[in-house]
Parts: sequence; structure tokens; C-alpha cells
Amino acid sequence: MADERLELPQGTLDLLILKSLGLEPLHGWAISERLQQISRNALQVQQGSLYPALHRLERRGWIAARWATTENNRQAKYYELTRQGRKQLAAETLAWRKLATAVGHVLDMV
Amino acid sequence: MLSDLRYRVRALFRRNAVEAELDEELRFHLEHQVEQYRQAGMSALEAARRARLAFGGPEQIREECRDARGTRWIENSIQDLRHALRMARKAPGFAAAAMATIALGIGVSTAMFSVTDAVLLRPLPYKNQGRLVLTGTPLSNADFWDLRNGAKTVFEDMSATMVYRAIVPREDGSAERVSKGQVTTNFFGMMGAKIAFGRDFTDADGKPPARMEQLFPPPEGAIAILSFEYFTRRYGGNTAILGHEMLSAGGPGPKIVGVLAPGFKLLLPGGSPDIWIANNRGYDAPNRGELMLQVVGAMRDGVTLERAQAQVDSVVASWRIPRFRVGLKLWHKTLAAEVRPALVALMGSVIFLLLIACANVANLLLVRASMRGRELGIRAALGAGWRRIAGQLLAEAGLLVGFGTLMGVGLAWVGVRTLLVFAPTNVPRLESVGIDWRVLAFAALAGLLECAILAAILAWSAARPDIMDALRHGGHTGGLATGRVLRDGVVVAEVALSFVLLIGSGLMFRSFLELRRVNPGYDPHGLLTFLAVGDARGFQQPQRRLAFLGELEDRLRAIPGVESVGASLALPLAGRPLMSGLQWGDEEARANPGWRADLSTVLPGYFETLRTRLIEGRTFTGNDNAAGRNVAVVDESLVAKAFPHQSAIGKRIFVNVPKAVWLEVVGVVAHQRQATLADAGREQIYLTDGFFGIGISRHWVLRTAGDPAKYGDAVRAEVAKLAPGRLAVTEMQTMDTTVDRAESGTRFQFLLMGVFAGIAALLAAVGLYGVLSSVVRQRMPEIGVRMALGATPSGIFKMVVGRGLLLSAVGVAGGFVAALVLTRAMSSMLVGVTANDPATFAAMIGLFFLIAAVASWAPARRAAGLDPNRTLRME
Repeated sequence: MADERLELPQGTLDLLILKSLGLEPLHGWAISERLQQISRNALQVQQGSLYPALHRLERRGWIAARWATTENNRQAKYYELTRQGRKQLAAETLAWRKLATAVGHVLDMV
Repeated sequence: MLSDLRYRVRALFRRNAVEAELDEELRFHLEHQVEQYRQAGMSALEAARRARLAFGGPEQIREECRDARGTRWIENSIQDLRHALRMARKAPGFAAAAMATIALGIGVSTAMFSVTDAVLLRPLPYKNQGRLVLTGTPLSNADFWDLRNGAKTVFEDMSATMVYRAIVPREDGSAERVSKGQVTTNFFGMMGAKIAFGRDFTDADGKPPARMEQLFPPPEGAIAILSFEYFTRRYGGNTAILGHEMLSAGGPGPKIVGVLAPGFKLLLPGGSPDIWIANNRGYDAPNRGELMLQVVGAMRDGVTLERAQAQVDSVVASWRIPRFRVGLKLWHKTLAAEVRPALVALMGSVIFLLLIACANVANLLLVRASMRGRELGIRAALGAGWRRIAGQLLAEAGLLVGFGTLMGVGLAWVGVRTLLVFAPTNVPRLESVGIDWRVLAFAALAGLLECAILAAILAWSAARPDIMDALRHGGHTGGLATGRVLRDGVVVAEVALSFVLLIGSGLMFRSFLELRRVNPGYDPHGLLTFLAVGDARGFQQPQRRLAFLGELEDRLRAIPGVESVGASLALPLAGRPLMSGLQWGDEEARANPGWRADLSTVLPGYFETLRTRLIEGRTFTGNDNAAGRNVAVVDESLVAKAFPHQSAIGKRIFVNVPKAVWLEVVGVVAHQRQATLADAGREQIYLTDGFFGIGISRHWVLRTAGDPAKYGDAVRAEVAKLAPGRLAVTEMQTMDTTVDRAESGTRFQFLLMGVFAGIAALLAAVGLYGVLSSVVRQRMPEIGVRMALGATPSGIFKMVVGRGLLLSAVGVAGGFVAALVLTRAMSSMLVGVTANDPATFAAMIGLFFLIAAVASWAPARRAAGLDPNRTLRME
């Protein structure tokens, strides 16, 4: 099963995190769950490696963190997109689409 | 950007909170994951295992999160600094020695820099400061106006100054000595001087009055501006004096119209005026021969000195004076020209000292690094990276240098004060020397430089320990072969640098001895000198002046203990003689004019009082002291030039100051050192005071029995009795003091260089000692084996001392070559020795090997005294 999963290309984890936060603020575990759901388990992300990425994005000011209470009445760290983060998401999505299309074209032609 | 900064600052300063949050966040994740697996039906144990597996190594994740915060290097640095502090506390002696050495280097060089900066480096405090030029020759008013009008294409503006001393009466009947400056009315505007009260000069202030016959005092109707300092001192800062005339001895004084802003100074030899008078002499064609003005020009933007000079040359050529040239010099270059070589040499010395101190600390650190070879080896074995170990050593060096620099600044503060006490009087702008931000910046830069050098040396040697080797040898041999070569190299460099300094100080010492041996042409011991300046009212006729001076002379001579009395326009080393053109004899010499000589006036009895040797003919008598008597006494050097190998008596010489006239030579005297002791100076011509109109010779000199300083009160009393309140006595001092001051420059340089060289030699000796000690310590086992195999203690002793001498020899050879080149920069400071004086070089080589032998002594003794049994057991 593990063999069929895709390794994430460099830098795409950031994009996926931003995307998963596009709808609502989430905590770390929820983000990891969301990533698995959206990719239909096709992507292989070691859960722990999510956190350095989250901290890096927070430092860059693309996401903001705050502590809030979960439905189970626990304190958890929620992340949400900042305005800058939204802009970044749009820009990266566009860039990714372009790249994917271009690579797709090349692959189709040969 | 801002959020980034905020994030990092929080990560740095709320580190514990951030860490706790991270733990909580990761725990939250794991618990959820476990919960999910349990709900999927796994056992608690299995769920926990799977969750950990899916998550990855928690410690590694934590590290990665810390890296993501971007504060890692700061945290490391803090950790390194803490470690360094611990190390320093563990070896306080070492830390103190290193810091003291650094403090010494930084302190001495910073103190010296503060002087160099204030005197040499800071720009002139004037508008257009980079474009201001001075004429090398004094000019007359007419010359000035010709030049100003004729060189407008290259000069934005041109003004003229003349500074002279004057006695100004006070309301209470006493008198004070002030410095007066006569400047053209455009001067303050051109220099960008600010007026604090009242107004600046206007063109109208420079309009000549109807009647004008003499230069001193300035013609009537003069307008004055006061320096702020004089305004405060004399008038208590009361602006009510504006518009009033100053009190004056000979008639109405100049009218005060303004006060300068504080701090404005005329940075020319002769000092800055207290009272500035507007030059209102106009073109003044009749006095074309009076060359008294210092002309200042502000070149137009983009004009080179060469172009300005060419334009000035063409104007001067139109005056048709043979061999007359007005050279231009940039003001900021001439300002400290006299002291520049000394300051550059001293600054160079302290930079050397700084490097030597640095080398010494590097050596200390290297020795310690070699002893800590094992510690570093273990750290490397435990996985500390090259960068991390280097960073740690750097932190140690940085800590030492940091504290050392702080101590150094404190030392510099003390040093500057000490320097100022001993500094010779001919150094301009000394009053502005102090510790300011530029000086602090220099200290910081010096500290950074030291830190960089230390870091480079350490990183090269100790941060790449061969782990296995270090562990195997237990840190005794250290296994740092590069370290040993490096340490030797550092010591050799240290020796070379300090040897150059020793040579420099040796040359200055010889100069000082030579200076003391100079025959000045007079006997300075037992002479009291003073300047008498009087109120001219009632002394218009020469006969009255003659009678007055005669009585003064009689009264002074009548003081018990006074042997003889003389007076002169300019005593040796005090006051300036006039300069005259000089021609003589046959047509050939006259056709080829351009010789110049010093010209002074004296009262009969002057040469006898100074005990200047009479070589030929006679000195002046009372009969000679009259206007019509065209007789002169000349010095031996003039005779050597004009009448070699013949008697000068009866020969005729031609001078053009104060008027063009032929004089008959009646006597030849020994040459007097006039301007400086070090330089022979120009040829000398003496005329009588009477020739000039009586009363010109104001520098009095008394030959006394016993200590001349004791006669001061008697002299003042006699002068006061003769002319109460009319004659001011100033500048009273013994001739010995004058000579002492003339020697002060050389003495100062010699003392400073001596101190620097002494410190340098001491540091080099300590460095040598340190290296040999560590060599002995590291080679103990080897020495033990040698001894066990039959080497004698004296053989071991010779081996260690030999090594010390070998290192010194290499260093001295390097220093020798460097000194051959560098001491040439000192040439102008030297008296009677050449920059490559073989005797000095030889003596210093001997001295240095003596020092090296002494430094090698103790380690060699220790090596020779080793017990082979014990050293072998240490293995």
C-alpha cells in the first residue's frame, strides 16, 4: 500500500497546508486529517513533518496561530490564513497549475 | 517582515513558553491519532505504537521546529557565550592576562588615535575646507589686492590675515596681553564663521581713513569683532559694549561691532586672535615692501592646486620682482605638517603594538587549545560539527576581546590625559583631543579586528582536531602539528613587530642625545628672558625712547646679581627675526640675487650677555646704536657662504629690509640656532636697535649669578618703578626653559616610542616564554626519553634556549628588513642620525637577543630539571 503513495515534491507541502486552511481555521491534527481526505490517501506525508512547516509558515506571516477550545473542551493551537497567506495561496496555486499544465503538455507530446 | 521579527523575538525571549506550546501541540496531535486508531478497533498499546510510527521521531520533529523558528544561531551563540563565561571563570588567571593584554593594545592605540584624529584627520572647521589654500610667503596689502583681482578665474574669494600680539590697557590701569588679528572684511564670510552678536564686517569697514602713516597700532577708525571667549572673559558677556570703542593706549581704540560664535579659531601658527580688526589699509601702494599678510584663498569648485598656482604665478610675474614666487599650499595639509611625520610614526607604532598584543593573546589561546585538545576531541567525537566548535572558540575569543576592549577604552581615557600633559606645544588643535564617537568607533573596530584575527587563527588550528589522535594521546601532545607551526609563526611575527619598534625608539633616543649635544651658539644657563611691551604715548621722538631704554638698561644692570643685560628683536627659539634679501660684493653675486638671511636687531652688549663667541672683528658699541650707522655683525655661516676663506671685516653686504641699503661688516659671531635646535637655519645678520629707530628690540635677556628665575620679581619691580603702568612684562622665563621646550617635541616622541617599544618587547618576551613553556610541557615524555638515553641537563637546557634564540633570530631578521624600509618615514624626526643608523640596528639586535635569552631561561631550566622517571611514567 505504501508503495503506491506519492512522495511530496519539494515545497508543495506548504501549498497544501495553505489550501487546507482555505475554508476554516484548523488545528494541526485536523490539517493532517484534511490532507489525507482531500488527497484520498494518495499522498504520503509523515504527520510529524507537518509541524516544522506550520511553524515556518507562521514565521513568514502567511498563517496565524491562536489557542482555542475544541469541541471536546480541550485547548488546541488553531491555524488560520492571514491576508498575506491568501494572496500567497492564490499565487502558488496559479504557479502550480501553470507548471502542471506545462509538464503535462510535454509529457503528452513525447 | 515585521511579523517575522515579532515571531523570532518571541521565540528568543519567551523560549520556555514557546517550547511548552510545541510540546502541548504535539501531544494533542498524538492523542487524537491514538484515539482514532482505538476507535478503529485497535488495542491501546497497538494504537499508541501505530500513532508514533505515523508521526515520526518526536525529538527530531522538535529540532526541526526549532530550526524553523530561525533563531537557532542566536541560541547557539548565547550557549557559546555562557560556555565561554564558564571557561573564563574556571581559569581566571588566563582570562585576566588575556584581557589585560588586549586592553593594553586597544587602550594605547585608541589614545594615540584620539590625538591623531583631532590633529591630523579631522577636516578644517571652515566652509570650503577642502579648497582653502595658503600662500607660502607673506604679502603686502597691494600684493593681496593685485592677487585677489588677478586670480578671480580660479578663486571664489580671497582674504588676508595678520596676527600680532598687543598690550591692551584695562580700566583699572593695569594692562593685558592679547592676540590681535587684522583681517580683510570678507574673511568671516569666506570662512563661514558665525556672528553671535552684532554684525559682521562690511566693505565700508575696510575703507582707509584720511590719515594713515604707520602699521602699528592699526589706523584710526578701525572696527573690531571680538572672539566669544574674549568677550566673555573681558566683558562678562555683556552685549552693551557693542557699538563702543575699546580702551586703547595711544588714542581712540577700535569700535566693537560684533562678537563671533563660540569656538571659532584661526588655525595658523601664531595662535587665534582675541580681537579681530578690519583691515582698512586699502591698496596702500607706498608700503608695498611690508610683507606682513597671510593670504587665504578659496579655490573655485573643480579647480586644481596646479591651475590655481599657474594663475597666481602669472599675477606675481607681472610684479617683476626677480626670483620672487608665491607658492600655494592646501591649508589642511599645512596645518599639521610639522607634526605629521611624528604622529604617523607613533600611530604606526601603536598599530604594531595592537597587533603584538593580539598575537600574544592568540598564543595564549593556542596554548590553551592544545591543552584542551582532549576536550575538543571528545566534543567532536560526540558529533559537534566543525562550525559548532569553531563558534565556541570564537565566543571565547569574543568574550575576552569584548571585555578587553571595554577596559582598553578606560585605559585610553587615562592615556589621553597623560598624553596631553606631555605633548609638545607645537601640536595644533590639541584642545579638541578627547574620547568622542569617532574614537570609540576606532576602539570598536580595533576590537573587531583583533577578534577576527584570533578567530581566524583558532579556526585554522584548533577547530579541526584529529579526533582519534587527540583521544589517543590524552591531549598531551595535542596532535596539533599545525597548532605548533602556527604558534611559532605568531611568535616570530611578534618578535619582528617589536623589533621594528625597538629600532624606532633607538633612533629617537639617539636623536635626543644628539639634540642635547648641539651647540646652540650661546650659553643658555643663567639667562633670564622676558618681553617688554609698552604704551607709546609720549615716546614719539627717538631721543626720548633712547633715554628711556638707557635708563631701563641701567636699572636692570643695577639689580644685585645681574651681570649683563641685552635685548633683541628675536631671541633664539623665541620670537621671529625678519627675513631679508641678501647680496654682496662683486657684480657676479649681485647679478644673481635671491639669497635670504635672518635679520635681527640688538642692543649693544647682546652678544656678550648671551656669550655668543666673537670670531672676528668687534661687536656693537653704544656709538653704533644710531640711525645713520650702517654697520652689521654677521654670523659665521654667512661668511662661509659669501666670503669663504677670507676676512669678512670691512666687506659690504646689501639688504632690502627695512630698506635697501649697503652695510659694512664690523664683526663675525658664532651661528645661533634660531628657529629650532635641530636645524641650523638661515644665515644671520644683526643690526643695532638704533638703526631701526630705537625700541624695536623688546626681548630682553639678563645674565645672572645663580638661579635666573629668582630675579623675576626684582625685574618686575624695577620696570614698575621706572614706568608705572606703562610697560608690561610678559613671557618671563629662563633660557633653560626655552631650550627645554624646544627639545620637548623630540623628547615626547622619544619617550612615547620608548614606552611603546618597551611594552612591545615585554609582550614579545612573554610570547616567547609562553611558547617555549608549552613546548617543554608537550615534549616532556620525549625529553624524559632523551635524558634516560644519556642527554645531560645542560644539553637539554641548550636545546630549549637554542630554540628560543632560533625563533627570535627568524623574527629579528624579518623585523630588520621591515625596519630598513619603515624607519625612512621617520627621517624628518631624526637629529644627527640617519634612518638606517648601523649602530642603532646593531645595538637593538644585541638587546633583543638578550631579551630572548632571558625569556627562554625559565622554560629551559624547567626542562633541564625534569626527572626522567616521572616524565616517563606520565605516558
